Amino acid sequence: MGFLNPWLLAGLAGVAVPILIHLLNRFRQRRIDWAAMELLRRAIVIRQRRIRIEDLILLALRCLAVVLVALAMSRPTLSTAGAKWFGAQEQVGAVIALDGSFSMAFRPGVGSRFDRAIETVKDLKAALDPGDPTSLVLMGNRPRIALRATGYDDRRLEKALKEMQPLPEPLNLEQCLDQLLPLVRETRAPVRECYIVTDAQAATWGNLSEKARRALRDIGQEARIFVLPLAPDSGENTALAGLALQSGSLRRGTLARLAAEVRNFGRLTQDRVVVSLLAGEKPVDQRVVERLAPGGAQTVPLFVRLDEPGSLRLTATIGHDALDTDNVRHAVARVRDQVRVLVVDGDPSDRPYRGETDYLATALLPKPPPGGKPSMAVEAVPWVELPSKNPDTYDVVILANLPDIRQAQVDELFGFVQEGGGLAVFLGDKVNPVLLNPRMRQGDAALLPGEVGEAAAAPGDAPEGAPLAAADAQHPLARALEVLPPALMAEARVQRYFKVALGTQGRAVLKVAGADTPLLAEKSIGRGKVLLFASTADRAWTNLPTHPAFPVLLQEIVTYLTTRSHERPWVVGEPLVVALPTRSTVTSVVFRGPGGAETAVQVLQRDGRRVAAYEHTDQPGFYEMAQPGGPPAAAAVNVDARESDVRTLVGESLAAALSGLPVQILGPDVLNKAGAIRETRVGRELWRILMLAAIAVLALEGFLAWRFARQMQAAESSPTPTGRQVLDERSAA
Amino acid sequence: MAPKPRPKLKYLDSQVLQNLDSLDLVAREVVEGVRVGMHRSPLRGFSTEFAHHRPYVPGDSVRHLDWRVYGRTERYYVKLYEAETNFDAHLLLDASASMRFGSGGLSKLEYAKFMAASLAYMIVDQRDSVGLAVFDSQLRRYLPPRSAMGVLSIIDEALAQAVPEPRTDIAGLLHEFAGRIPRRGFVILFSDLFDHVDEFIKGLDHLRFRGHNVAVFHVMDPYELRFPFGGGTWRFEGLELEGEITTQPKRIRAAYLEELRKFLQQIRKACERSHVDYVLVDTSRPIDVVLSAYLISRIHQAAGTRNR
Repeated sequence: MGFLNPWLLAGLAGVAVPILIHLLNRFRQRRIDWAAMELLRRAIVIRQRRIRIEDLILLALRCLAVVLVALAMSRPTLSTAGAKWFGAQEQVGAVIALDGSFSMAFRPGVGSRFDRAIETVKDLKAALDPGDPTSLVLMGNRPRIALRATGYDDRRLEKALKEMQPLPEPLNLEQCLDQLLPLVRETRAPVRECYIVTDAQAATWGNLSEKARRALRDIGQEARIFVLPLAPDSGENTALAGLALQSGSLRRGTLARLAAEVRNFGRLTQDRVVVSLLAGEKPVDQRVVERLAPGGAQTVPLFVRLDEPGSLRLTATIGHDALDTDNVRHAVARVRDQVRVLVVDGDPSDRPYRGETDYLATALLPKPPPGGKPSMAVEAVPWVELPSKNPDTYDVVILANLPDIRQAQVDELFGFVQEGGGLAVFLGDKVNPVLLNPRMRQGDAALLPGEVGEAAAAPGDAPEGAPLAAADAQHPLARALEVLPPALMAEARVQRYFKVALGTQGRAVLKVAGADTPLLAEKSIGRGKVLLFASTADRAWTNLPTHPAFPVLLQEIVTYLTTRSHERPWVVGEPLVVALPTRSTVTSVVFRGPGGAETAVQVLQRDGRRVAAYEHTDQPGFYEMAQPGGPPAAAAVNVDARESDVRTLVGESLAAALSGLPVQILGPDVLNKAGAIRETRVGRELWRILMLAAIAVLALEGFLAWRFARQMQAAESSPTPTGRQVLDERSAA
Repeated sequence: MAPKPRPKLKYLDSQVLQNLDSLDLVAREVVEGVRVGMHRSPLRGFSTEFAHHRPYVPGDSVRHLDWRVYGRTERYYVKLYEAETNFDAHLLLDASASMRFGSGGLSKLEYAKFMAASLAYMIVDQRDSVGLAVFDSQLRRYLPPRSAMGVLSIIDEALAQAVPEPRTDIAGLLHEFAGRIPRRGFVILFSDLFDHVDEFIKGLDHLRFRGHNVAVFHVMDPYELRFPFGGGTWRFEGLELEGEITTQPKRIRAAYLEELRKFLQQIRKACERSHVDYVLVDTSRPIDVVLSAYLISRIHQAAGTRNR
C-alpha cells in the first residue's frame, strides 16, 4: 500500500469537522422554561435512544465520507502483492509492441538492433507473472499481432519472438498505435501496461504527428506506456535511395539510362561507394561514387543495352554496410520492339511544315542510329483517312487539329484506350468545341480529360505569349520539362489556347503561366491514358513545336502513354494494382512474389476499370502477374527510402519528443528494466473506488437522514386533539 | 335597553363579557340552592310548577291536598311541584408553577384567571352564588360562594394575589374540597392537570359522588399542544423543580405529540366516564370563543336532560 499524494493524507484531519459540528450543535443550546416536563421525559425515553443511534450513524457516515475523500485524494495504491494479500488476483495485462521496421535490421556490430530489441523484450519477462494476459505485436507499416491477450507463458513468448524478423517496411507509427489501442482495451487486467521497444528512429519519433500523439494519449488513458529505446549506435548508413529509368520509350536495341540515387545518412564521409546494375542476374554496369559527404546524395547514371523486347528486371546494388535492406533497388523496363504511332493531321498541307503534324513527326522521329531501326514507326495520315485505320494496330494515336470525328471512330478509340492504348489530342483553329465535345463521348463517358471551351489569348501583354508552367510538379511529364534549363524553358511560349474545363477524372499536368485552365491534361481510361494539349501542334498558336523542349515532351508523352501503370516502382506494403483488359473475362489472376509463392487474386471493378489488387507486397523484389494471353506483367517493389535514415533519438532529445505524453522512458541505462517497471508499478490505484465509496456513503447518509426525517414526519402526522376539536366534537355530540 | 353597568375589575374584559352576554351557565343536573333560581332542584317543593302526585302521609300540609283527585278517587293525594333554585359555583384555580408557562403574551395562569373572572361574573349575574379556591400543593385561598355582586371584586382581588407556587396536588385538593362543600353545587376546575392522572381521576370521582356538577377547563399553551420547535438543541427547565432536559425537540416532536395524545385521551375518557365536562383550552384562542362554545354546549345538554 502506498500513496501517490501522501501529503494529502493530512486531509484525514477533516474527520474532525463533522464531529466538531455535531458537538457545536450539542453545546449551542437554547433555553426554555417548560411545564409539560413529564410528557417530554416520556417522549425522550422513547425517542432519545433512537435519536442518539441515528445521530451516531449519520455522524459515522459523515466521518467515513471525509476519510474516504481524504484517502482518495492522497491516491492510495495497492501493490500487486498487496492486492493478492487482500485476496484479489491482481494481474498485469501487457502489450509488447516491438518495432519491426527495417531500420531495426541495422547491424552496426555483432548483433542487429532487432536482436537487441528481442533481448530487451526478454528482459521484460521478469515484469510479468505466469497467466498475465500478454500481447505481442510486431510494428511495421501495419501491426502484426503475434500473441493476443494470451496468458503469459515463457515458452510461448520465446517461440513467438524467435519467429519474428525485421520487416522491410518503414514504421507507420500512427497506424500501429491506432491499432494498439483496441488491443490494450481488450486486455482484461486491472493493471495494464504497454511496452514499446524501438530504436527511436529520429525520422519517426522526432516529429510525431498529432494523430500519433493522440493515439498515445488514448492508450495512456487505458494503460501505462513504457517506451524502451535501444542503446544508441553509430547510425552510419548508406542507402540506394532511388532507381528510375531516365530514357524515353524503351525499345529494343537502344541504350537505356537509369538514375540511381545514393544517399549517405551517416555522420561520416563515405568513400568509394560502388553502384552496380544487374539486368536479371547479369551485371551490366558499375559506377563508383568516390566521395559521399555526410547527409549528401549523389545520382549516378547507369546504362543498360536493351537487346530483347519484354520486361527487363533491373537491380541496382551498393556494397554491404550495416543495413543491407536498403542497398538494393529494383526496376522493371518494358522493352518494345518498336512503338507504332499514328498521327492524324486535321489540317494537312503539301508544303513542308505547313501541315499540322509535321512538327510532331519530326519530334517523334529523331535521327535513327546508324544502321539501326528507328525506335518508332510513325505514320501520319490526313484526318479524312482516319476511318480506314484500326487504332488497335498502334501503340499511340495522336489527333492534331481535327475538324470532326465520327462516332464510330470515337468508339474505336475508346476501346483502344481501355485496352491500354495511348491517345494524345492536340487542338487548333479547325477544332469546333461545339462539335468536338459531344462527339468525344461514349454514352456518359467522356474520352477527353475535360470539356473544350472557347479559345483564348494567353494571359499577359507579351505578344509572343506566356511561358509554360507545371500544374502538377510531380507528374512525370512535368518533371521531364523541369530538368531542362529554366532560361530555355522560358522561351517556349503559348499565344493562344483553348480553355479546358477538367472533368471529374481529368488531371492537369501543364498550364500556361497565369492561366487557370490546363494546357496539358490527362485522364486514365481502363488500362490506357488520354492526353489533351489545349494548343496547336504547329506554330499557329505556340512556338513550342520549334522549341528544343518539344521533342523531349513528345518522347516523354509517347513513353508515358505506352507505360503500364504497374511498371512504375512500388513500395513495400503498398497494394499492387494491375489493370486488366476490359475484354478479358478472367475473374481471378495469380500473383507470384519474390519468393515464388503464388496467390490468386480476385478481379474487381474499380472506377470503371477491371483491376487486380495484390495486398501482400511484404518483401522487396519482383512480383509477377500472369496475364491472360500474354507474357506475365512484372512489377518492382522497393523498400521505403525514408526508413534508411537510421539515426536515433537518445536521452534528452527523445524525452523532448515525447514531452507532454503519458509515457515513461526506460532508457538503455536502466539495466534492470523489469525491476524498474515493478518498482514504478503502483498496482491498483484505489482513488476511484474510494471516491465512489465516498459518494455512496454520502448518498447513504442523505438517504438515511431523509428516511429518519420522513419517519419523524409520519409520526407527527398522527392527529393531536386541540381545544377547538374537543369542543367541536362535544357540539356535534 | 341600556347595557348593564359592569364593575371595572382587572380580570374582567368587557368585550368578553359582552360576547357572553346572551349566554347562561346552566347546571346540567339538578343542584341544591337556597333561593329560587333558574336551576332545577333535587327537592320537590310546593312552588308553581306541578311535578306529580303522591299519596298523603300524616304530617303533610292539608293545603297541598288535591281535592279534585279526592273528588274523583276518594283518596288523598298531595300535589308536588318542581322546585327551581340557584346553585353554588366553586371556581378552583390551579396556581401551581406549571401554570406560569406561556409561549405568547399570556401565561396559562393569567388566561385561567380571565376565564374564572368571566365565569364568576356570569354566575353572579344570573343570581347564582360563586366562590373561589386558589390552590397549588395546598389550598392557598378560599372564598365561599356568595351571590352578591360585591363578591366579584373580592374574587378579582384574590385572583390578582394568586402567584404561582411549585408542585400541584390536584387530587388531594379535590378530595379535600369534596368534603368541604356542604351542598351539591357546581365545581369548575382550571388547571393544566400536570399531576398524577389516576389520583386526579379519583378526586373527580369523589366530587361526583358527592353529587357535584364538575367541569374541567384543561388549560394548555399552544406550544404544549403542538410542540412547534425548530431544529437545534434546547434545554427545557422544569417549572415545578423537576430538573432540566436537553434535547432536540424537533427530533422528538412525534413522540411528544404521541404522549400528549395519550395524556389527553386518558383525561378525556376519565371525565366522560365520571360525567365531568371536559374542555381543552388552547390559550391561543380568544377566551370568549372558548367560553361561549362551552356554554352553548351546556345549554344544549341541559335542554336535552329536561326533555328526557
